[in-house]
Amino acid sequence: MLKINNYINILLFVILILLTIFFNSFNSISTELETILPKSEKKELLTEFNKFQNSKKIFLSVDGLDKESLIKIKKLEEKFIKIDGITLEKLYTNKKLEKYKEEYKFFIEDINKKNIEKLNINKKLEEIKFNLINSTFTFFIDNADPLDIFRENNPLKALSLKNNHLIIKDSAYLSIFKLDNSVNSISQYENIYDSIQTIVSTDENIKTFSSIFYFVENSRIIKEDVNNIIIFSTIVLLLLYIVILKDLKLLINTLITLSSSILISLFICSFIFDKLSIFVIVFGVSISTVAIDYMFHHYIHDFYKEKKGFNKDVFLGMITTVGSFAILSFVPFDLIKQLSYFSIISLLFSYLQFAFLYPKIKFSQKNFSKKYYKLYSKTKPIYVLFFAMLLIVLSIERFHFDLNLKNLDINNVTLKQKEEYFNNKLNLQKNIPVLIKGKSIDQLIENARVLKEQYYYSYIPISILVDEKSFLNKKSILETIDFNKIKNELNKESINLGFRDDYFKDAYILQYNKPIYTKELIDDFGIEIIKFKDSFLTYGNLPKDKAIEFSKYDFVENLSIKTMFEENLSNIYDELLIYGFVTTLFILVMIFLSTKDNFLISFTYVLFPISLIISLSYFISFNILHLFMLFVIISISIDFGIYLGSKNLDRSTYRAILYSLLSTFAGFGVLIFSKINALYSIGLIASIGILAISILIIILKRPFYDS
Amino acid sequence: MYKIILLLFISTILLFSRPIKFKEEKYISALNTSVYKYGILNIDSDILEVTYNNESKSLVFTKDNIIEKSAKERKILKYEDNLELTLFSKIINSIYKNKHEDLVEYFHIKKDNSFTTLIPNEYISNVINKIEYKKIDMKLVFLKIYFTNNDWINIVED
Repeated sequence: MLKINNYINILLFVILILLTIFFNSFNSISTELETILPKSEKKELLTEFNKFQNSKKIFLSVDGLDKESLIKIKKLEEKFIKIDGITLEKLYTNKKLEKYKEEYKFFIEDINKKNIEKLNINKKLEEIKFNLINSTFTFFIDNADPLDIFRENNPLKALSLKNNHLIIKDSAYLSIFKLDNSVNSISQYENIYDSIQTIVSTDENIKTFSSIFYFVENSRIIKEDVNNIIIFSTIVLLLLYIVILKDLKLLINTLITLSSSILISLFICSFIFDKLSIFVIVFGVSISTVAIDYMFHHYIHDFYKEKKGFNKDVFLGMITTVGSFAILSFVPFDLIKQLSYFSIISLLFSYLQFAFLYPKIKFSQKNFSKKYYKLYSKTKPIYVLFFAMLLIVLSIERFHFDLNLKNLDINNVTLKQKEEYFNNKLNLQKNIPVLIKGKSIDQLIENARVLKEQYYYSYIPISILVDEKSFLNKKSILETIDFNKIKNELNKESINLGFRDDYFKDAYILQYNKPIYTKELIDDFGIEIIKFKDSFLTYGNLPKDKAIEFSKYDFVENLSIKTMFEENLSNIYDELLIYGFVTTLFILVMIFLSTKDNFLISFTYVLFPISLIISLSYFISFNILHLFMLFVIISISIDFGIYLGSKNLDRSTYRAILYSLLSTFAGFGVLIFSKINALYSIGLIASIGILAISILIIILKRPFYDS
Repeated sequence: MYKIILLLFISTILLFSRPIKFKEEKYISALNTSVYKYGILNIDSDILEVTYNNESKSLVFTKDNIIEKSAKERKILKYEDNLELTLFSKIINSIYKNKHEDLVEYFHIKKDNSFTTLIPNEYISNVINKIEYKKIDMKLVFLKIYFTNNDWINIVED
């Protein structure tokens, strides 16, 4: 008979598919690590920083300095510049900037005190004359400063030129390409990455690197891993459900419900968060295996065949799990928020269908095997509780919270090696990129100069310019030197030595007009600045080993995602523990309310998994996801605690729990096969938790019905 | 056929290894005067050597580096650190060995009936204004390098 109830499930599923497609919900899924960073000004600044062309350069090197290498790199250059969005960076200096540097030469360069103290104009002119006559070709005189009173601040460079081509000293030819400003999306990065890989193929002498490669490679590694995990987990779960349920109608309905729960969570979360971490989707698939427990309990207790009304135990189990996620969602860490919101929506949706829609659809229970598994089940809960407490006490001292990002991220060793190669070859010191802020352009230059003065080998393009304060300081110093006298003597002596009359007419003409900067002028100089809110931003590369020191300047933002993560994690560490503690309290109250007489049994199901997980302190440091999963496992295991502490306990409950455990293990446990540390962490804790519950089911003294 | 090739080979070696006497006039704008030097160029398939008669100094341009020899010392210079010497060796190689491809990296080559002009690219245009030279068969009639500081050098084969 065609009943509308049979089709509500399918109808909802179709509607959800259409909604997610219409609202592009899948587009909000991101593989970028920044997605899980909380919204903050720093995160906005990171987005701004990524707009700088300097952060998106592509480096190409060909080993060797022979003619073959030169020909090879030139051929590669020709192919590279044919790729859309790539241009070869020119070696030539910006003419407008050069003119500015000439104009403000005396304000940019340092005064050579030694030369001015021992200034002997006649001797200096003799030297110049000697060089003019005896140089192999020609000798260039600095017309503005022929007496070398000023000294250019020109630190050593790791790069030089050979055959009019950039080279890494003594080792390789080098080309640097820049990306157009319009190249900002992952798909554009992918096109560029693929084109480059096709060109360079597998030649070991050719090395290429760009920070955008991380976006592409890591995203692909994550996607591949996630796909494998989801496929593996789905196959295992399907096989499991087929074996357990043996009912095609129920199986299809359950799969539709679980898929719908993932879709509705994705749909709603895509409105709450700008970007949703791909980890949340994997977690969502796993959490659906918790939701299926609600179906198992209803089904095995025959709620779908006979009119039995409301299953209080399942409701309490669900409300405790959802409540725990609700509490954890207050932790100010976006990944945890995303995981919690996603889980709450998914669990609630599944519960509503399993508890209220399925009894209306009606499924008849198949004959399950009545085989009784003789287990050793004599241990009293109090002993297990004592053991668990002891284990916690012994382990807690070794507990260590790990802030290191690599415990969540992909460890892309090959690309890191290439980055290291270029970093070592192109920089004289290990630098890290930072963002420099200023309320005005002048303030920005002043801040940049403060840093440049402090860290000589740092790379801060804008620090070549002179700010108002430096200009006025230098002006007062220059006014103490009698340049007119020097110039007069220079003219007189030079004529005596045979120089042309007016040859030194351009020497020591001091420019006392204060430089005035506009954004357009700075752009013309080829220096990148961005207007952000009421400030101006530029970038610089500062020494890595001085990170703590320069972070003290309030105008410097260290934008390494690793640092941002660590700062954020250390900030939320206390809050995570507080919310975790509140979650545990909430769970204990729920156990007490639902299983008053068998409280100890239920409590064992909470404490024993915690103790086993905490005992991992002997082997690992706990990262944010280990801790999060610890609380999730508590909230899941409480379901088992409630069911097993219930007065309605019967053999069917044990069977339902056994199936639940198997499916939860298939859902979460498979994550231990993931190469992504974030997912591996979730899988590890889940597996230990499930193992703990399984041990309890086997060893714990059974309640009255069994004896 | 083989004999012709062998003959050509031997004549090329003889041609390249023959010493070329030259006269160099260097005009120094700052002093408004010229300095004259006389020297010998030895061109080999791999090596180019320039020796000045009135100085005990010579420059040997090898495949990998430049050797500056004097009575007292022997200095090895890198091509990448000595742009002017690099350019000089490339120009001489180009003129005597017809290796124009090396010059394309630095210059735009303009030929007319009487002489060849090399217009420098942006990278070296702050040092050299232009270069002119004229060659008849294997003999260099003149090579004149105009620098941006108004100095110039004129080299003629004796």
